Amino acid sequence: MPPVNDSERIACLYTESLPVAALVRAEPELAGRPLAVYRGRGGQARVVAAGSRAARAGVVPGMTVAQARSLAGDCLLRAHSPAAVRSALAELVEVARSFSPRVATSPEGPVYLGLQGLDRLYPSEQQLARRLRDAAGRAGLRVRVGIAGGLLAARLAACTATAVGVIAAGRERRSLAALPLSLLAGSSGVLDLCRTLGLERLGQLAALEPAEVMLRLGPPGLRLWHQARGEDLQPPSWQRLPERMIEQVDCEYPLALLEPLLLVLNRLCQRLARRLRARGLVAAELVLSLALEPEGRAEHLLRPAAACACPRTWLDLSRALLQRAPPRLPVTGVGLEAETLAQTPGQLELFGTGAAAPAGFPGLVARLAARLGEGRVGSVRPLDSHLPGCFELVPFPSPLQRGRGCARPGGGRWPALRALRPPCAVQVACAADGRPERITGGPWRGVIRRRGGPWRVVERWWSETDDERDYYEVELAGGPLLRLYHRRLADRWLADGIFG
Amino acid sequence: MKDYVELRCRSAFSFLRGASAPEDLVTRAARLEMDALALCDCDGVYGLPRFHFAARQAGLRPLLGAELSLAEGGSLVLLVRSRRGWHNLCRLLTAGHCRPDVPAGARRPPQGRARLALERLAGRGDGLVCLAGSALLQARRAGGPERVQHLLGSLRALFGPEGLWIEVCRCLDRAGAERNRFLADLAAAAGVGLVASNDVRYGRRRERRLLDVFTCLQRRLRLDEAGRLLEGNAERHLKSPQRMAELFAALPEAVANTRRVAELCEFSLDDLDYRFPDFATPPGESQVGLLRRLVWRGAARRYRPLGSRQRRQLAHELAVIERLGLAGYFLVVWDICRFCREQGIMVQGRGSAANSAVCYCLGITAVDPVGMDLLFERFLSAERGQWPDIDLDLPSGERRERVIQYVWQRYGRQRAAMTANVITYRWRSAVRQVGKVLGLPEEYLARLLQQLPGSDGEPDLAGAAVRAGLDPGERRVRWLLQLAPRLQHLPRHLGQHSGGMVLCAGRLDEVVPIEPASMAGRTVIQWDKDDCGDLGILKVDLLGLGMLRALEQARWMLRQRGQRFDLAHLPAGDPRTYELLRRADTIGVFQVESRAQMNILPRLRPRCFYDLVVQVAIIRPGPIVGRKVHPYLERRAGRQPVTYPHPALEPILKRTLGIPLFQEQSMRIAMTAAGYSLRQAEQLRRAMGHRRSPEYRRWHQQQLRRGLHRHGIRGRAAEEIVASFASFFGLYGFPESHAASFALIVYASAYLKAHHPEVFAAALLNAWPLGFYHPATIVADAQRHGVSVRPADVNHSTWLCRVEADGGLRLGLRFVRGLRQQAGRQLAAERRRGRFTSLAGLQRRVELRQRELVALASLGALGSLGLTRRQALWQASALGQQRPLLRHLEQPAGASPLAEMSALECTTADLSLSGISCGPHPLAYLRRRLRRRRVLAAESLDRPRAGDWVRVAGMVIVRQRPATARGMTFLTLEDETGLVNVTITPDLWPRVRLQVVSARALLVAGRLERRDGVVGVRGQVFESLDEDLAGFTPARDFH
Repeated sequence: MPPVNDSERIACLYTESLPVAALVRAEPELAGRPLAVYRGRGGQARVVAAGSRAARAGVVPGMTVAQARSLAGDCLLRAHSPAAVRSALAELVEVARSFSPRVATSPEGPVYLGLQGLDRLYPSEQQLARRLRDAAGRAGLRVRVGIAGGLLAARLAACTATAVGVIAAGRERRSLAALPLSLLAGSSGVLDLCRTLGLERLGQLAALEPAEVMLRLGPPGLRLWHQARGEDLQPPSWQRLPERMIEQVDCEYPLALLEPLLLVLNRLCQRLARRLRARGLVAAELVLSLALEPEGRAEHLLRPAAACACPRTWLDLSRALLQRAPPRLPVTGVGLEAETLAQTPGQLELFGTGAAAPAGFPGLVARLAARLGEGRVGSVRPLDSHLPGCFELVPFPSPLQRGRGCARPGGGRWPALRALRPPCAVQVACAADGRPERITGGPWRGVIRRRGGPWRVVERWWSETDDERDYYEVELAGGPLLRLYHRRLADRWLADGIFG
Repeated sequence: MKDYVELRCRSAFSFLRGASAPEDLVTRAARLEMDALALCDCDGVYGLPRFHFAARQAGLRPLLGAELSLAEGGSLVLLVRSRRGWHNLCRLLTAGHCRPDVPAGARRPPQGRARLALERLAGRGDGLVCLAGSALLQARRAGGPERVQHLLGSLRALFGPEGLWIEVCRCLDRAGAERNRFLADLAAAAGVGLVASNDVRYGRRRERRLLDVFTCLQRRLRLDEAGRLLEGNAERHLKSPQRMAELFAALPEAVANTRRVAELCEFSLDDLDYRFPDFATPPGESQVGLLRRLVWRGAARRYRPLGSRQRRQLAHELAVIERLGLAGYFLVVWDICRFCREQGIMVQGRGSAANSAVCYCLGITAVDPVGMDLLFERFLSAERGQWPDIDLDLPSGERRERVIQYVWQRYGRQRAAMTANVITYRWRSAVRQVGKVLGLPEEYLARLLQQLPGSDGEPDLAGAAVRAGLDPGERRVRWLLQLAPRLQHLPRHLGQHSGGMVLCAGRLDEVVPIEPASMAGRTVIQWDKDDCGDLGILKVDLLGLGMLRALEQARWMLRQRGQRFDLAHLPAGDPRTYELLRRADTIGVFQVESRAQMNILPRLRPRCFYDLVVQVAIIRPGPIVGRKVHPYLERRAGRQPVTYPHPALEPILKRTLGIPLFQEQSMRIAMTAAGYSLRQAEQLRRAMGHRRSPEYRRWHQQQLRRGLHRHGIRGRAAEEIVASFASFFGLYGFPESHAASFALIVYASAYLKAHHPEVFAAALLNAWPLGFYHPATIVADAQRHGVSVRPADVNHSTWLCRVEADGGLRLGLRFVRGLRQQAGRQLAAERRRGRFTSLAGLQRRVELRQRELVALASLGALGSLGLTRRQALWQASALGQQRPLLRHLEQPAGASPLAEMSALECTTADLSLSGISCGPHPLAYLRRRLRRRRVLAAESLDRPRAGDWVRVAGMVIVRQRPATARGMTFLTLEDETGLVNVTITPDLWPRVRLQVVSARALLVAGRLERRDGVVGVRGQVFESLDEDLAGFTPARDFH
């Protein structure tokens, strides 16, 4: 791909050790402490980012958690929180958007903004860079700002600057020459070959003839050569801001009590409100999502009476909801997703009732579930079990799924058995071999004329619902055809179905 | 009531489809007062030997069979009536496993799974009883009544009216009633007898849980996900005849027929009809005659002069061999050795075979057992009741494979195969697998596994769970604690023995089924070495030894120089060799190169061959844990008097200064001091092995104690003897003969190092990986011995390392990382047609890839073309990118704009691209800085006094934390002048562990220790030098 020669002035907001910075943004009290972030579990856990104090103590990305602990005993080691990183990046994009409509970013990368036209608002690029840095600082993120002609040059300027770095127009190649080649993102094979050839700096590679580079390093090498000269391979792709605004955080340890969960939620609400206000938006609905341990998620819809950007209201709603339907498992992550609306200045009607809350199906189900208990509202699904008539309740299918229809398993003739729920207790007199001979008590009585069985079912021995049942199908003299079972451990007889 | 015989049982040898060990099924059957029981594992007879012997012991009649899976679906239970039937069953199972529809190299079906089309059963029904049930039901499902009738007709034709039965089972499942009705109607209509069975998959009801766990493991599911794949109830256990009669009250003839079928099955594994192959002898000469002739001819060559003692011993051994009919076995092993010698492949017998003078005279072993007064009966005796086991050491790798293939070629694929190795569940694997199935999170399991010891032994699982933070009362944890121990020792899968081969006079696949091994070109039988031993099937172990490969390389290199090197003709008592051993200059020397051995050598100060035998045997878990090492060394140094537990034991222990060091000594002690017969002594040895149960061991110890008391040995002396047995056989000690065989290789390798260090180093490098040390350490050691080590070069190097005419060691191209062997060999071959003069010429003549050229250039291997490394790199990187069309064109070699490599860069490139540097040692670059910090070089450690505080530094080449060292950790550091030993005490270890484990180079400060000429540093302060040596290759790991 040919390099892009259009050298638009671009600013780059670069956050060193973004996972650490995101964590500090989420928990400001961590600022100033030696902090490192790891990814992985147990012995496989490795440091992915280290704050400046931790780095000074020798903690570097790639080392194991045990190594980091051994090197810096007071270093705080926290699990990597992709949610916190996403939120931090989202806010950084919003900061950039407040300066320029032309903003670009990647899931893990720095944030770029095009500076076209901003020269009329700011007297110098140095001043603009400082303003950007200050704005990001107010959002809780310490960034370095680089300004240069092109994405790559701006990024390198930001990476290597102490606070702000501005490369004057046309001086990109000279300014970058002394930087190490490892700063560039090339294929590892080409970078290794460069290292073998003794090419350690951008200037050394840039000084070679392109034909020589092409001959030795091939097209990937030529791309690297262009980068070494500070040339972009692709033009920036400016992005639109998403309509939904998400703020997330992973908890340091699983939360099992409501109060600490509300503390985390409070911070989340504050940050989300700050972002909404910064863009002049309000939240019409919010989705509170809880990541649970060991697995699973719980999501709750919060619907304030009117769209607002009021963290207190959201927190009150959340508190009520969580008190009514607390999470059944410890919470490891919290997310708040706002459906945004533009803030419309207006006055509530003095005698009106306000906008009716949408009485949607999910809301109804949620309220029912809150009243009846989890797992008592939903749709029936047969279970893969040896027990006859065994089923479970699953959530109602979404409207999208409902259109597909539901096929009957087997598709054939269904047995004409009416299940009795709950099963009826009966008294049974048995023969010496344990077979039922007569029903002596319960809704039905009489001599058993014919019988089928026993069919023994001993299922789920590993669960708390361990049970041993002997099933029989019996025909009473002049009476109905019943299905009985004998709970062997409890020595109880029950009828759980009538045929015909 | 007693009519019922269970005809269909699966054991855990059905690999995840049965849950009880064969012995447990037998025990259960005996408790239910059964008099016969059939074992029919899925697609194999893996568990039949164990079942056979257990049944015999319990007084049960074992009925043998297997369940054969059909390609059409379903399976047939085949029970063996006669020897002919056994042959047919084995061949059917072999055919089922060696499926022609699976192309070579394709993914094989899961282990233990066979599949055989019905048509391939033709002609193999004789002597078998077929219980059809599952196959008929499958036929009904797949094709309806017509297919059922067709199958029934085929089976009747195959097995005859007396050999075909229809099986019904009643396991209280709903669908079973309907199935039984169908099968009973079918049997009545076709006039086929009906037999009852319970399709047993476990002995006791509670073992159903294990089967459910196995089912989940097989399907890779959790219990919660398995649904109806699991059994609906626990009814497939072994039921009493009374209970079966009740269940089949409506079909009494089905129960009675089980007895009729059982009576038809008369075959037993005692009638296996296995014969070791006869050795083809010259016309008119018997096997015994040939063996005698070869032995006496060998004796005349080995013993000069052949004395009466040797004659007596040989005559005795030959008489025993003849009486046991083992002449053919010895001739076959002799023939393998003969083949090796003809092919120039080094071979040497190890283990107890070295106790035999016959083996020595046949050239199978190289140690004279008469001269060393070794106990022949440890190897073979009529009284011992064990078959002999000859293990041959061969050079590892392709040469050993050639010998294995020779055996197949000589005796045929149908007559020879490798023995199996049954892999069983151990604690860790059982906990991991059961935990997964129960759905415990990986993290919890990892924590629990961390708390379990790595080696054998019964851990406190509940305690480990508590330490791992798990609640033992929690449901899933509770099940884990219950089920994991019950998986212990159940078979997990079948492996291949490292070198055991069985041979047979007739078709081996009529004695035992044969399966293709995972390694191409190999086949493996369904029984392991213990089963073979118990059934009287003889095997030969062909084992690979890296040092023999190295010695073979050395022999070849010396022959090129016109010198002879032969294990059998090394000068005995060579002073230079013993001097080298005494100063522990033994990097690379077989068996005595470990840190522990190197520490003992200067203290033991070997002077003769027997000292080497002791040296090899003394650093073993048995003597170490039995605390024999220190007393022996003290007695040898004269600091402790030589005493004996009892005067009667003096002749046995005299040579080892009153300390028992060898297995033979312990056996002789039992015979002399406790009145054991040879057979009893052998039983005792086997009983004390680590695989036996503690109760069994304790019983034997009690017997030994009683025997000692009867002979007047009591108190401390008796306890010492009993304890020595436990440590020797329980924790592994060497037989004297085995130690002697190894000592010979020790002597040979030490001799080579003492006299031809360049050849020795080249041979080690060519045979690498072997031993303890990295090639860089071997090269550094050779350099310290004055060997000029030269880098790999396209105009001088071959694929392997070689010794040049002036005695310099030229590194081979095999150490150029990334260079393909084919390309390296082509390069060496092409050079014979003329030197390479330019890089372009090299590229034209040899098809090298760009990264190969770059690797050669980076290492300086293109130096003989007149190019510096960077010049070569500049050209090489351009050549590799050329398109094929332009390859023939000579490219103008433009001047390189690249800066030349510094010396440090060259060393870095060497180490990263080949692991070896011929230049300065990495520590040499730091020496000036280290000197400023008062760090001593290894060669300077003879100056300070013991107890002085010293600092040393070096690359970490060995880290050891042996289980027998009571928590001590041993490091070996290497600098440019030599090696430094560092010890770390257990109390210090937790604080320095991380640094010591992770650092590639260390600076260590501590007190100097000096004892009997052994110098070391007891480390106190550790500092990583990794940052100073950034870019160098990492050190080795723990041993």
